Amino acid sequence: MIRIDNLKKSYNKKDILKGITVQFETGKVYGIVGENGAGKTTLFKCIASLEKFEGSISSQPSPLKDHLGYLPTEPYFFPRITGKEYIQLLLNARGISHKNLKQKNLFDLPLNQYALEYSTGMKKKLALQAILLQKNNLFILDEPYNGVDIQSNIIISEIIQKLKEAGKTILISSHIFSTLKESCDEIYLLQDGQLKNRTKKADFDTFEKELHDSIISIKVDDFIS
Amino acid sequence: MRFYFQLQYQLFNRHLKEFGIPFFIGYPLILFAFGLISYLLCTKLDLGPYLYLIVGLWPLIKAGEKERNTFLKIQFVKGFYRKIRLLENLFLVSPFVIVLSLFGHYELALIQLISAPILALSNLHIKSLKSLPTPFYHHPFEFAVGFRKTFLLIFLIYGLAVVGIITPNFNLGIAALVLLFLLCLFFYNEPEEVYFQWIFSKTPQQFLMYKIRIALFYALCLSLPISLGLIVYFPDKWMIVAAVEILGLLCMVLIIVSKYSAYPNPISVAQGTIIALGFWFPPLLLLIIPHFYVKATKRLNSLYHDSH
Repeated sequence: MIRIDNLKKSYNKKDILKGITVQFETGKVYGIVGENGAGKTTLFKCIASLEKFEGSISSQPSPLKDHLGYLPTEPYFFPRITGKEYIQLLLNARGISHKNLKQKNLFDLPLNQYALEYSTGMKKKLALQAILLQKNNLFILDEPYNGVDIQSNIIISEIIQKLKEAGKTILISSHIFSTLKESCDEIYLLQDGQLKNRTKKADFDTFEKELHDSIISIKVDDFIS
Repeated sequence: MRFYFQLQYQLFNRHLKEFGIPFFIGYPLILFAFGLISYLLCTKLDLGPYLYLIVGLWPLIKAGEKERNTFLKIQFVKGFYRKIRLLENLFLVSPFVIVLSLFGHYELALIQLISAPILALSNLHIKSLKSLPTPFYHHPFEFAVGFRKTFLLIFLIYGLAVVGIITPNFNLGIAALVLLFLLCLFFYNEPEEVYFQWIFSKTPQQFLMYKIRIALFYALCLSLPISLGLIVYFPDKWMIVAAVEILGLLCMVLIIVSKYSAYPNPISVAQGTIIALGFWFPPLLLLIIPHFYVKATKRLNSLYHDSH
């Protein structure tokens, strides 16, 4: 469980998050949608305490940082570190042993190759694999489907389901609504610094249509005309 | 082309500025340091000029890095790209060629001069899908990355140590040991992305001790063969070897605590000055290390826990 109270964040006097209050329950999958620059990544970074903020965030188990698997939009890799060593680094950080990494190579990645030479999708899969092996209770997946092939998309959706069944709390952001529809229990729209339109699974189709009509159609029509 | 070199000049100035050094101090300081190191290497060490030749090749290797050159190739047409790289390398190598000539090492100066166009016009990037094996793979990342970046230098340092033992020249051997520790310190010179500190579920104290433990162990693994060799072949000078070994290890501790006292920013000029004082008068390390350790724990604490 993650509880957020009156979370505010601004950059250079520009308010990005304007007093968000929300509770993410254990064993549920939450989707966050919003335009580019709406503040999804900022929200995730605040939850992970990678950014300073006003307000409070509490979690069960606590401290959140020690139980959180955070997949950034663009995972960072050191030059001249192999995929295997990257995983080892993340496991060492949590004091988890790293035996039989070859057998746990979920996405068949070339683990002896330098991670920086991986493609965008492979980098994402490596970072995801590493945080999965960390055995976290809470997960933040920032655009997990970006740049990843169709087969891996299916695997990621399956992983999210399994994590949910195992009682993990998962927050996902994605621009691909269909993938969120499959995986999430609830979806929020992040707009104007607030989490709006809390939508439950039964209403996802209506929400998608509303989003399509209000955001995409009007803008495209205006642009073309 | 003029714009390209103006841009390089501006980039260099920005680096100085970010490091907190004003231009009017930065350039004279660089000139002074270059002159001093050049003088010491060319006059005080038997094999110093050869080492100087290698030091002079280092900027050429850096300028020839794959990513940088791929970018330049995309931006400029082939002929223009070659001209830029040629001029760039000649500019980088010229101070070393002048110094070597001034000290009468004409053959080395010629080698240095010829290496500039060769390295500018050839593509010596080692393309490999496999990674370079490292003995430090178990605890990535500083030593694993550092080893892969500088393995040729490490072998060279071992070579110097062997020459020091064979000739026999104790000073050369001890210089190799000092160089090795300097190289290990260099592995810790840049602060890593915050994510790679964030991932640790350790208190700041535990985190620092973890980093220090690994650094000491790996630095020992690298330096002990040289130290033991020197002690075996120069038994009457074992105390000097032991002192350098202990000092080297203390400096490893110092670099870690000072790095995290400024983290995620790079070490500032003020901190650099304190570190330099420690190198200059080693007993000060006993005060400086605890000072930076306390600062580092405070800094790491403030990074995450104060935000909630």
